[in-house]
Amino acid sequence: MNNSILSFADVSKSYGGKAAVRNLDLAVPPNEITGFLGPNGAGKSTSIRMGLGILTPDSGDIRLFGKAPNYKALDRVGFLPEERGLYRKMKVLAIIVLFARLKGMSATSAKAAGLFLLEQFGLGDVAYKKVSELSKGMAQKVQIIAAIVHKPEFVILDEPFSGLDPVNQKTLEDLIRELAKTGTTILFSTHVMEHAERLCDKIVLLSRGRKIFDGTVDAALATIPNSVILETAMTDNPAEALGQLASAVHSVQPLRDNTKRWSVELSAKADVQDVLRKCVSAKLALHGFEPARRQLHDVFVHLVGEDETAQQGAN
Amino acid sequence: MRHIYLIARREYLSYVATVGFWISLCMIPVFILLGMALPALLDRASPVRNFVVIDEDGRYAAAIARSFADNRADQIGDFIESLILIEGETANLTAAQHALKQGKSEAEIGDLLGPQRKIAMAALRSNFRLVEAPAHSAEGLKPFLLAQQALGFQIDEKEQFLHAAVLITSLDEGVVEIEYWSTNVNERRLRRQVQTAVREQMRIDGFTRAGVDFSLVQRIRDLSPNITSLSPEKAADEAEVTALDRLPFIIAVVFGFVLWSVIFSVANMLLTSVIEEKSNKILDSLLCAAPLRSLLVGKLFGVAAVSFTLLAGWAVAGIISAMVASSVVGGAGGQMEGALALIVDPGLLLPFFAYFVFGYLMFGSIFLALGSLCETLQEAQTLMTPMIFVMMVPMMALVFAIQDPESPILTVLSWIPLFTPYIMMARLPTDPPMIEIIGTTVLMVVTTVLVLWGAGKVFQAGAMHQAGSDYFKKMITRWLPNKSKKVV
Repeated sequence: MNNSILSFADVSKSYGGKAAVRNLDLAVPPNEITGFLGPNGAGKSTSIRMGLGILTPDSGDIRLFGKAPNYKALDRVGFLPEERGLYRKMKVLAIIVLFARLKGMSATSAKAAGLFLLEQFGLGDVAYKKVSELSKGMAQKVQIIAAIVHKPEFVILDEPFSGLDPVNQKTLEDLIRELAKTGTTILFSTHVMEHAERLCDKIVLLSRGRKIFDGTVDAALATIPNSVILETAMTDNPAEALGQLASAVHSVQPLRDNTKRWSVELSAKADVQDVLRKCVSAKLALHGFEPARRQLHDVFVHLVGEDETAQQGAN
Repeated sequence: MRHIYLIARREYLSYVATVGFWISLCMIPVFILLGMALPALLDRASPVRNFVVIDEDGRYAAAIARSFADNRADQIGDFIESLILIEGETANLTAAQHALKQGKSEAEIGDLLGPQRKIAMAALRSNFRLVEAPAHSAEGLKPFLLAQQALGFQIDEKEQFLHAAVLITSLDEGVVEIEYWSTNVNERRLRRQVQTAVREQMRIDGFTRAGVDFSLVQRIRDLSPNITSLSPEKAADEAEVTALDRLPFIIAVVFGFVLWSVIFSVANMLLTSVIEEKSNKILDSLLCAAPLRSLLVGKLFGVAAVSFTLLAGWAVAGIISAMVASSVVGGAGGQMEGALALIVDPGLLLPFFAYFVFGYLMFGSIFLALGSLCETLQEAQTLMTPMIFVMMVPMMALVFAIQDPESPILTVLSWIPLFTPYIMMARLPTDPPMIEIIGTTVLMVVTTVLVLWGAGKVFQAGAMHQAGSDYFKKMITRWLPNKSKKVV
């Protein structure tokens, strides 16, 4: 916590009496990629804006590089906001240079760095074109360049993948990995779990302004049970055979009215091998045995769903 | 400071580095000059129209000819007057004026004015030309009036046709009937002038028939006191008020108009600029790179620099125009130099810049704050309407100040801080009491500080908290007592 690049301690923020962020504790460790996840309206962007000092929290303490957010510290931060745009009449390189200079770079270095990144992103030929002449994807790349041109130590990307086609999403993923390799700390928010699963060392999951998970991706995946898809030769119900593994098996359900395929949901600590052994010893005529891979998407749905159920119960 | 400089620089270049800005910079003085010259240009564009007078008696035709000659003399007199206003009373101009009064020919007057001004005088022309009648009856003149037959002469190698024919018949008892024949039913000036000239002759005849010497009547009618305006503020031997003495009042009012138009234009620039940033979602990126205060101040500085560029451009255009006009009328001496000296007089110029700064800060920050609450110009229009009404008040007051800069209404309006820059600017040459100058200035400065503070708060709400155009409505609702709030 002490060496965190960004930390929140019991931070709350509300708008017109409606809580946007509630008692949030958060630590973004250095040199790691942290995913800030949550459904729409979970409080991700509000938290990020508070972390940058754009918004002031109602209560709690926020530290950016160990101090309250200030513009000296922000020179070390690159930020791509969720609601982003550019001056449409400005030229591409000029806008990159402007943001770099606002972050303290000299005009010469800013221009050189801007041209280098434009080339790297395949936008070298639009450096002197107006933003209004760019496609949406190109403009988004320019915004990303403007956010990182000053070589920040800490990069915050708020929903960076929204609006990008799959090819550009892949390019951005590669860029995030490249930045991480050079020791840049990255915090990015998304509600697309595939990106987070592929990129993040750590995730923080928000729901309704509250943190509902904070840990590694593996730890997140461990919060949901394993499952196995069984395919039997006849319409035998494997539930009976698996009955002896009651402590490991949560449920056995047929898949889409196909009585030959069954989904077996296991408890968090159950071993898939035990299930296979049991099926064999019970002489089930197995035609298929597919351990299902746990995905962050399922974790998200599971944890957010649980939280919403709990909230409804509380109300 | 780095943030302020960069924001201001971007703001400045976003306007000044566009071709449109320079075109509009040039177009405004061009439009003003065109507006001033348009009546004359339109006048010159219409051809000189030929007309004939058929008058058996002969006296009325002579009266009409005299009337046109008098008009021409008035035209030349006005020309010499305008030269005196620009150059001052030189010996040549005074001599030309004297020659005109003595009824000397145009050639003689032109010789006194000098070659350049003689050409300029010759360029002045009448809209109508009295020509020899090609026929002496309405029937005979019809082909000429219908342009079926040309008059027997050319001007500038162009065939001439008849615009109108005036047929005058004298009846008994001094009754006169005029038939005015023309295909152009809209042109009334010639008809009016003919009627006036004939009426004058009829009056002469009437007085004569009654045994009254008309020249005596004319002398009595022309009696008028000589009036000289004098100012006790001037030395006894130079106490007469000249056009130069009136110039400071004119220039001060012009400065007031310039202030108003520049502030209104650039405040609108601020409004559209911040709306663009809000609608294009740039504000969050900017707020992560620069403090809110720097954004606000940078924008104000940037657009202030744009307005100084505008003012400098107009000043250069004005000086060039003055020099060109001065050389065209021959000699840059006299009152033209006096006017220029007044414009650069620190007594007017320094207050002009001071009033500009405060007027700009007040209106600029208000427009900036309103812009931060809107994402489209349509949204802004709702909030801007009351401001536009407010802005129209000093504009109307300045029109009033042309007639009477010492009016009590202007004194009252001077004390309203939003109007102080424009009204006090126009009133300065009237030497308002020191208490008014200090009092209105203090009030204006305090108001500017308050407006800047309030605008900062609104800008903060608009830029950081995404407050919308209903911000003021929400604020009012919040301030109202709870019981008056509608419970849904």
